[in-house]
Amino acid sequence: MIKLERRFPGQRDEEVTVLLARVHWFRFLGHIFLTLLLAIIWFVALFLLQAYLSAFLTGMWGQVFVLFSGAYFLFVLLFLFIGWLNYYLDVWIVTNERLIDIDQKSLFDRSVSQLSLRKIQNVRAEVKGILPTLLRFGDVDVESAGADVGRFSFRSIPKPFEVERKVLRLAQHVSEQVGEKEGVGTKSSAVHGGRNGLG
Amino acid sequence: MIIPVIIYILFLIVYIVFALFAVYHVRRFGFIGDATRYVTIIFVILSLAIIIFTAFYIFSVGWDQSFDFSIFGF
Repeated sequence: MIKLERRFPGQRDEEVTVLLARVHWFRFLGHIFLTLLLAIIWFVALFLLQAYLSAFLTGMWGQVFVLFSGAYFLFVLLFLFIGWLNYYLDVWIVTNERLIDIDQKSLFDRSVSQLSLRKIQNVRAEVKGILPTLLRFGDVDVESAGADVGRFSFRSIPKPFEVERKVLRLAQHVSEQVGEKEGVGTKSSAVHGGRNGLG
Repeated sequence: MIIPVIIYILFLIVYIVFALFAVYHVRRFGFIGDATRYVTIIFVILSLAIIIFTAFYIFSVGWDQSFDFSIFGF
């Protein structure tokens, strides 16, 4: 088991981070394009003003335009940063004890869900569509035994089949450990795996 | 006509508040050994560069002129 150097808030001392998954970068491209569009709008506005209303760029109006441009670019920068923050802090963490889903919805909206590896009953990976197949990202659904969590989902993550394998292996390992502690002799496990899509 | 400068300063105050919230959030919920530190530094540097540039501009030009509406044909 590889111990990652990254530590996350709330990580226990003996807990080892096995995997840290984020949404595939492709899903962040939309936000980047929007930011570029906002920047391009300013250049287009500048071009149009120079072409049709060049007097607007002189005198008091010109000074106001400079201030407005500064404010506009600060806004675009903050827009990009918050978008990146929402993308980057939205993670799924797999440790040797649990699965953690940190859902960063917006700047002031964040939720954390956890699922113990002991409660995992089924793990399923799915890659659907041309782009997800080419770029190798997809979903991993983890079904739990308890009714409180139900299904734990990794959405649009890179290498979903590899994640599925790792989670399955960890869950089976924990299941065997629990079985040994309870004095069960068999090595069979009730944890199942499944695949849907090209492997 | 100092009003545009006042409006800009008010915007700057709101911007700094939101930027501080965002940086605090990243620092608190980011992960050690991750890209959060570098991106935060880049964000702060770029923000400061724009703010300093506009501050220099505000102090380097005169704001006692009035708006010329004749450029719009009035």
